[in-house]
Order: sequence, then C-alpha cells, then structure tokens
Amino acid sequence: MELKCLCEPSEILLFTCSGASNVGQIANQAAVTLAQEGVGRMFCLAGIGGHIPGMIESTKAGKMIVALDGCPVACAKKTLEHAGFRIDEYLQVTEMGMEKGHHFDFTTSDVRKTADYLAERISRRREA
Amino acid sequence: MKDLGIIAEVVKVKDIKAISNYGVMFTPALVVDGTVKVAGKIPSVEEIKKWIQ
Repeated sequence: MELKCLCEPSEILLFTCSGASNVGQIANQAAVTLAQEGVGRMFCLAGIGGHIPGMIESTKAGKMIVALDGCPVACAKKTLEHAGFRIDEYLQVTEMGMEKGHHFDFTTSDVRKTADYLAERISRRREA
Repeated sequence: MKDLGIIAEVVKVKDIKAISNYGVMFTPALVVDGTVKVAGKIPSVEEIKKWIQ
C-alpha cells in the first residue's frame, strides 16, 4: 500500500538530473517550475553526490523525496540511493514519450507536461 | 560541555547567507568544528555529547 505523506510543500524535496541532454534540461526545468509553483522545494543533487554534510542532513529532515531523471541512466535516482536515501516519488522524462538527444532543444510544453504529471503524482501521495 | 569538561566557543548563527553556505536547508542545525551534524531537528543531549567529545 502506498504511504501517504502528511507534509508541507517545504518538506517535499525535489532532486533532478543535471541535464546534459534535452530530457535532462526538461527534468531540471520541470523541477524549477514545481518549486516556483510551490509544489515542493528544489534541492541540490550535486550536494548529495559530493557528500556535503549540510545537504545530507537537510535531506534527512525532508518528509518526501522526489527524484526526476531525464533518461534511464537514472543519475538522480542512483545518486540518492547511493547516499542511503529512499525515493518516494520518481519519474524519468523519457517515460513521458520524449526521446533523448544530445542537444538542448525542447519546448515549454514538454516542461509543462512533465511538471503537471509529477505534480499530480505528488498530490496523490500527500494526505488531503 | 560542562558534563564533559570541554571548553568551546558556541555561536548562534542567524545570518541566512552564512547558514546556506553550509548547505543547510532546514533549521535548526548544529555545526561542530565546521561540519554540519544535524539539520531540521533538535538533537538529543546524548547525540551532542557524542559529537563534541
């Protein structure tokens, strides 16, 4: 059974792929959009990879960890898991039907679609 | 510190820029000798003793 989270947006931590491709950039922009719209709070994935104590300890204080990757290489997911964190909600942009390419061409509609889909999943996980 | 006989300087940091320079995103946080030990919760006395002795 999926556990519900009694959490505020500030306790929902968004980690995203660093974005060296179109789908990575979509992932990053979608996370920025969610943070700007107050769905959650964007955290620094590189800080987790770099074992920055402040980032690690702050992540432990979060109530919901959301990871967003561009592609199946799954760097965000693996970085978080390597640091010992359990991911509550996860999405790869390529699952949304977008094809990975080593370029940075994408549309605002790609970002909107990804952000909306993830926002819906986060909302379902939160206790009303 | 009194229990452990340790003499140390304790500083309460309120400057948000100084806090974020440690990578701390949740307060309260405790830094011992430059390393963040905890963020977003109040640690127990026993935990603090472990970190400073």
